[in-house]
Amino acid sequence: MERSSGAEWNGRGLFDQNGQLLGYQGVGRDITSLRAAEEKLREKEMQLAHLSRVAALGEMVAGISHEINQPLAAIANFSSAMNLLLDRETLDADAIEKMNLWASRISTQTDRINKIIQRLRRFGRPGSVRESFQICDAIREALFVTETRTRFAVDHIFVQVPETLPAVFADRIQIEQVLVNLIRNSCDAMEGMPGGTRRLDIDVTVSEDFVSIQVRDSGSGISADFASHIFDPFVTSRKEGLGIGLAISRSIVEAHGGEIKAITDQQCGLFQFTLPTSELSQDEQ
Amino acid sequence: MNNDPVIYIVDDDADARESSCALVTEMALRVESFASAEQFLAAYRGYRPACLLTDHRMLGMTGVELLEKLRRSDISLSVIVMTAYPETELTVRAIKSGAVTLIEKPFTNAALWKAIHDALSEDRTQFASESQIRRIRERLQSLTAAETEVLNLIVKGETNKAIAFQLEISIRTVESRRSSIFEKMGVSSVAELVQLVMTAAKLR
Repeated sequence: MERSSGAEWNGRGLFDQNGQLLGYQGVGRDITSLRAAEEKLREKEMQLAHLSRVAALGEMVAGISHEINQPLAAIANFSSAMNLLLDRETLDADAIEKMNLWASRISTQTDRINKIIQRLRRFGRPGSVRESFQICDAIREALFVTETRTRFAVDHIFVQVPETLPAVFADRIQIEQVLVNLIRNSCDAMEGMPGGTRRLDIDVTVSEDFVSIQVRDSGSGISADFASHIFDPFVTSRKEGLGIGLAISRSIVEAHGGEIKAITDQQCGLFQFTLPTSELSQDEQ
Repeated sequence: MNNDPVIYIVDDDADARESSCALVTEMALRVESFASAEQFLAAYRGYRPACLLTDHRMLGMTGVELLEKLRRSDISLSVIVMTAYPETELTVRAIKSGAVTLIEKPFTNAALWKAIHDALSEDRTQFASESQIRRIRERLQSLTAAETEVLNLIVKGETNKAIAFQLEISIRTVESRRSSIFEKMGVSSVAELVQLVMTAAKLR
């Protein structure tokens, strides 16, 4: 049997009272099914992580259609205006200058659409690749992805990052997903609050070998009672919520050797998660 | 230039707004544009004929909220709502508040032209009937209290005799007030008079 295909061997020597070697004993166990089960679990987690991204995408469709249709509208309008100009008998210098301007504005719009598509494509990709990156870049990206939501749900967003910050070593897309989930949670938590008072804070601090990220909203906070199972799958306080956002976030953070928790009994909603810094993770490899 | 219609464009997306302005200007129409509903409200002085072309999803007040606000302030300006993401709920709300139409971004030149054309013709009709109502109300206000009393009873279909009895005045007095009412209101029959009173009551 090959070791790699799912067998586990334990060997030991057998001795008598005087320490004389009697012989050897070897026990082999077939753990193919255990390995397969582990593999399946990992796959499932990956699928779930992907699913939660897809769910987030679904929620973002309204915002994205808006984001893409705006530049499309501009393209349609500028080209319609050009057609109207071209229908005229004569084109003077003024008209030609206008059309030049419109043509370049059309190409700016296509760049705008292209950028949106590229970001979406990156966000929707399944799989796991770890790399070194700056957490503030991931925060910026997560804020971009949730912009269409926060635009109407949050009045003030503050991001605080220390000047010198070690890189983290993680799957960037998955970490962005955790941030997106926490930001969306915060938006939900502040629903129904009066405009002007809704505030979202993202603070990054460094402690020894960890980078710690806090996401705080000015909602009513989390009760200790709810916090104990807030990370369980399918636990949600929202009617239309799937209840997988925080469960996925926890499995992602823990898979990276970090920790995520809800801080309770504050006058605000507060989640904190940690990620090992680049040096530490790479030493462990 | 004085009675040319004005198209007000409200959109918080600079590219979308400026492109709409370029297109409407090429349609040989006068355009004034604003980056938010609030800016439009602060600047609008009630000019007619006009129509408002507003995006829905904007920072601050949305397009439909702007429409609802105009209606609450008794401004019947024709409104076209543009939306980059059509939703049934939004359409229902907009039409209920009296939007002329909803157009989906991106739209064709022909769709915009038709929407503007419909909005302007509705605005003209609406404005004409409002002016007529205003004229009738002015005339009604020119009546004396005693004449108004008689008018209310005429409209109810009472005869001169019944009116005289009810108001405890002579038939001759009723007749004289009646002719004064007809003259001030510019009508020659009870039927016409009733029609005017009904038209004046139409709004509100």
